[in-house]
Amino acid sequence: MSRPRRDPRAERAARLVPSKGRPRLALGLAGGSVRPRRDPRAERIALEVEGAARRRFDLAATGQGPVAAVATPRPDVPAAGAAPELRLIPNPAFLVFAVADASDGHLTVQDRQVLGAARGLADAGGGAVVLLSPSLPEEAGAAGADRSARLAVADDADVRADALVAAITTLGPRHVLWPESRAGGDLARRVAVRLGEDLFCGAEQVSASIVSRPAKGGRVEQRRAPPRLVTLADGAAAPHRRTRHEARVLDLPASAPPTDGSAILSVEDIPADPSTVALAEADFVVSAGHGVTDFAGFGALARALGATPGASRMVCDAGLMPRAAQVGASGTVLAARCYFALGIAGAPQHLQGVAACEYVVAVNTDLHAAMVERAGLAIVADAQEVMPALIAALAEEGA
Amino acid sequence: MIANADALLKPLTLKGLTIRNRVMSTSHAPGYGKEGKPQERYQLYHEEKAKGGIGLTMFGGSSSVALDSPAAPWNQVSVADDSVIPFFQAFSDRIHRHGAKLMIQLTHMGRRTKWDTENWFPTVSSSPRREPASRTIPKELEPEEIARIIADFAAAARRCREGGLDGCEVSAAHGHLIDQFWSPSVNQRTDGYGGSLANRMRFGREVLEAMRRAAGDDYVIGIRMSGDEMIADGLSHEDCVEIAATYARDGLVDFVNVLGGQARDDMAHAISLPNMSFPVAPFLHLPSAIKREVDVPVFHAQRVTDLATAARAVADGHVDMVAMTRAHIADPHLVQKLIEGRDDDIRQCVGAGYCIDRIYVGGDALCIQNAATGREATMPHVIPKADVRRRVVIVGAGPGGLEAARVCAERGHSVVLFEKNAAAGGQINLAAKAGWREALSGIPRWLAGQVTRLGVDLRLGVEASEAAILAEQPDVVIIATGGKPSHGHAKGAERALTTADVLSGAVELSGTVLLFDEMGQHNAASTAEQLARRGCLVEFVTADRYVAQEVGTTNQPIHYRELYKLGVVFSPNLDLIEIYPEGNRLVAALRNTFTDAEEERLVDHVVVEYGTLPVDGVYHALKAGSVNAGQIDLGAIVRGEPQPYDLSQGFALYRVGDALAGRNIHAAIYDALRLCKDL
Amino acid sequence: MKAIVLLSQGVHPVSGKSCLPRPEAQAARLAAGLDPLPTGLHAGPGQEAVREALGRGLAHLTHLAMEDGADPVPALVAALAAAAPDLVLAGPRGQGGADTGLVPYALAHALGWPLVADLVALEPGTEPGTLKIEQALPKGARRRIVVRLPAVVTVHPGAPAPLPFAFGRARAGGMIRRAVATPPPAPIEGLMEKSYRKRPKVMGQAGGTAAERLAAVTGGGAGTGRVLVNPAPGEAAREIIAFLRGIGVLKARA
Repeated sequence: MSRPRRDPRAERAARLVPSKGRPRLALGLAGGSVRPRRDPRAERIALEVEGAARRRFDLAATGQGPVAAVATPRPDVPAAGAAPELRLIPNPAFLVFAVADASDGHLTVQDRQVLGAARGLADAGGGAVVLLSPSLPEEAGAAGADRSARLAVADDADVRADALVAAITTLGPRHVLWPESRAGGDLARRVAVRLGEDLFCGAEQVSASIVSRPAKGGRVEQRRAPPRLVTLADGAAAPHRRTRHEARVLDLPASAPPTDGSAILSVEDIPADPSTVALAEADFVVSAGHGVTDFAGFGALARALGATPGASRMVCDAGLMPRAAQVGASGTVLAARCYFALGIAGAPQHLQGVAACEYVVAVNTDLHAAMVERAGLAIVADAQEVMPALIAALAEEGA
Repeated sequence: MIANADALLKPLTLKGLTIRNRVMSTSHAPGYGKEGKPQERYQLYHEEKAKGGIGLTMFGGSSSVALDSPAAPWNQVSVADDSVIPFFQAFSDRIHRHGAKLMIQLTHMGRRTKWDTENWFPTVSSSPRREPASRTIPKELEPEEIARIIADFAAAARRCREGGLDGCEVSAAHGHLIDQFWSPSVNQRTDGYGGSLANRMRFGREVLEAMRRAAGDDYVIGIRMSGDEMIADGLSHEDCVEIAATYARDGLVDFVNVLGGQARDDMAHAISLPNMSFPVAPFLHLPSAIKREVDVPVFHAQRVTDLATAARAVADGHVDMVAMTRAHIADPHLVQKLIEGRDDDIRQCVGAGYCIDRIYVGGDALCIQNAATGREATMPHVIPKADVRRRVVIVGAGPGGLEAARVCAERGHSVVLFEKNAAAGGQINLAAKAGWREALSGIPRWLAGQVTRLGVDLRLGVEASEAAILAEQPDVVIIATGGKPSHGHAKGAERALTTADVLSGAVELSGTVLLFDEMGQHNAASTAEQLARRGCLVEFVTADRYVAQEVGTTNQPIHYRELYKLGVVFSPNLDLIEIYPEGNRLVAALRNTFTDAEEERLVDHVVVEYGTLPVDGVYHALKAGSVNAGQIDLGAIVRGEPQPYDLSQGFALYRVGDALAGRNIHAAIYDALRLCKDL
Repeated sequence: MKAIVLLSQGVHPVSGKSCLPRPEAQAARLAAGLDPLPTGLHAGPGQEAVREALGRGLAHLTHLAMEDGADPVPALVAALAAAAPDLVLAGPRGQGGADTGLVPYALAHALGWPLVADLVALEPGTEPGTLKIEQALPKGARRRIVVRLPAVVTVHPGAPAPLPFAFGRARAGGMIRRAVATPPPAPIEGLMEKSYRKRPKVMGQAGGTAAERLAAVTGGGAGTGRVLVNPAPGEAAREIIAFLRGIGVLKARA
């Protein structure tokens, strides 16, 4: 919000100097002409007053450059580019638990939706949102969490369920929300049977007055006021935005260690092969555009990074990559967390395809390319030169 | 075939009316109405979409139901009396023959129209608040007038039914009378039609109830409305959801056709009709949110330009029908092409806004890239084969040359196309380099794809000489060499750079730049944006009354927004009279176009935009040897007849596009189509 | 190894007719790989669709007939406790009732057995009384788990396809019907039912001022990222790798 004030007449008069013939405007510039010489931009800057929330121009200014503030700040005029308002809820009327998957220490898209829904339930009655996740994600406050608590991971999901049951029993939240994801749905069911409570699972709508879900093979919709335990289907709520919350760290009560040995004897994770993951599902996509000419090298880089390969329309049009690899509105729309664009300027339809990506890394020769603007890390350089350097650096690390 | 195409091709049934697929065209005002009736041109325009496989085509954007909502300013349709019914009957028969459905939009524009037109009645609204876009201060409606307008809506609905139309929608979007009652930004009433949202919804409710009584409960009546006015004192998203949910729950509407924004001023107008600077389907979240709340089908239009996006929107359940209105202006056969698996042959809308921009200055809707749209009576969408196969040589693969090559190849001729640059596209390649105008590159991309598919001998990187052309032993030579930028007529003009120098990347400027524009078109505005983005301090000077004066209403606000953000200084009403050096800088002398007062700027660079002058060397070299001395028979062109030259005596020589005189993309493509369709 | 598959009366997603849910048919195949005479167990009012499981690899079925809407868990717990299987297999969500997917969890909890979800493959463990399970994780990843039996597992749609339907086996297989008396189903307070209509996922983000909502649509978010102009390729590579590690997409080398 920035409303400059200006007076074109004063701006002009401020620059006027005595002269014969045509009126002459001095801009501090040498000139042999008899025509007045103007610099409209400098004239305007000369009238600017510093210190106001909005840009302010003082018509009485003499044109001697920025002067000290005479502006009285008005509280109702927010300064331009102000950070979102921080909302504190020190004494909540009740608690809403949002249990996040937060794989790799970051909130997933569904986790953010759960926080958005939890925010809605909390704000309907002066409650506070408690985020429970394996880590303490730094984005928790922006995503709407008033409190943040660590719910440790364990190989045995039952251990985690016991810890959560202990937290629910101690803190007595009004609602507990999970994403209806693989891990979230599993945990919710373990908790529900331990507490012997109904679980309203896969809710597609959620508000303080109503939750709804499909049942009986998708023939009927069940609706009711939100019960205590709810899991949310993907896309049931919008992520929270606008206000920031403090995400103050909350220590959970220690749960009793399992009395007998776990029935889970061993656990071993096998990561997915990125080259076979569908582009639309991939977590990390590296994509080649016009600025890439060595596609063997590009393929090697994708393998070295463990990323799923994609491409721009231009590359697919030219037959250098299969059509299935095309990223964009008219190709595949990505759900990846990170998009690494090599030599892609970023046509609007292409950017549409990466709109959901949280992180973008761009390598492009044009500093002003849209992709460079979109990127969290942009390297203005020739992608063809960066690719081998990356492969070499990765190989060196691996060696 | 594209992913999820089957979702688009499933029929949709609403209230006993089955629409064959999920692709539609929304009501718009192409300016083809004549005497308030949809006559032949209007009907043929929609018939082409019906032939092309569309499920539902809606015509008559803002068709008036009342005498104080004049149809004339838009060359639109008046449904205010029974004389329109026979036209509706002919129209619906024509569309139904091809299996498509036809609906109309009915409205009272309220304050969003003019008073100084056919009837000279004042405009009316819920409250007497002026709308910037229409520039009128409306009269506040009295209860008697409200009752009259409700009766007018009802009578119009009956006329639609009697005319055989499959249904109608009421416009409550873009700031028409019904949403002038809804929106607190207009409605300040204190009676039963103002105040609470329920009260503000009353007028619309009474209109819909009266229409249902008049047209019968089994007649399809929907509503077009905003899903979020996006103005501080307007309807919020939640208000709009509540309106849609309430009307739908009460059985007042059979479908909801949702869009985003409103249109009360220049910027709002440009946002509600999003151009190529916007992402694809920018407002899809609004119909989607309404779809979550209402049980009737939800339709949506707004920059859904490609079928992949359309199919995704339907398959994911965000909308029941997807409107591809401008996409059909670019290619009325897109559904048929989808069904036939020819999606690469679809001429995709690039979002230039040429169609809409023309109607808001009183013109007719024409497509920047498809010259047959709106000219169905004379221009073919499917080019018929010629009886005689000719050898055609075309020089220059800009839009004119590419279109000429495409049409000639479709005619079955043997075509050689010379292009001196390494890529086809001509001046569009320059225009597409500027910031948000990148999507223009879709025009030559499609044309080049067609030309390649049709077997044209495209010789890129080859400059055509007289000898090279004659070596092909042509029957017809078409010169489409385009234009070269003019440096203008100021004293010392040779010291200036042109916008083409900047956009092409031939020069990289820094420091202060005075940009002088005589054309008022996109070129200078785009160049100013490009320079400012790269750190130049730009002053944008024009002899016009304001900068970018010729850029249309859906594009100009986007230029202004970007230029203001970048701190470009606007200096209109100044003519460039002289450029001279001073030290290692330049002085630009300017003259006020009203007072003749002169002033100067000391700058690092002067960049000018004076349009283009024809590149016609090869034309003049060939002219004497041609049978027609390079002349086009204008009479034959206008009558739609072949050029009357005897090709047994030699070759005919023609020019199209900027090689003739600098104009625009549409002119080049139309030049080529109308000449070549009869070759 | 004794395996029991939990079966339900599903609804075909296209035709709407009752049918055996595909994951349960997949479970039948997995059970048949471990147990030469695998059993099916179904609790509910009807059994028409459930019979299909006999043609999909099960040797015989037990149908605990009970009133529609009754809680099947106590009867199932009793039946499983009596049968004492090594392994109970279920679909991710039984269909036809509340479709909550809670039943396997309730059974595991009541029996005190471990539950492993989203199984795509299994084989007997190297030690007796154990089972090696491959579990599906999101985006194509897998987890190998060794679990002590008895256990309950749910089957992921990515498990091997069901066996082709064998008409002869379906005819030959036997079905025992046992009526179970259950308390009348207690209606959940405040629960309403209406016919279901598919809703789209929520798009975008709610709230904000008009200007913020507009900005979200028109884009134009200014770049806030880090820009390196013309770094040496090696430096660029280091920066990129550091960034990718920081956000956790680049896995540490094994």
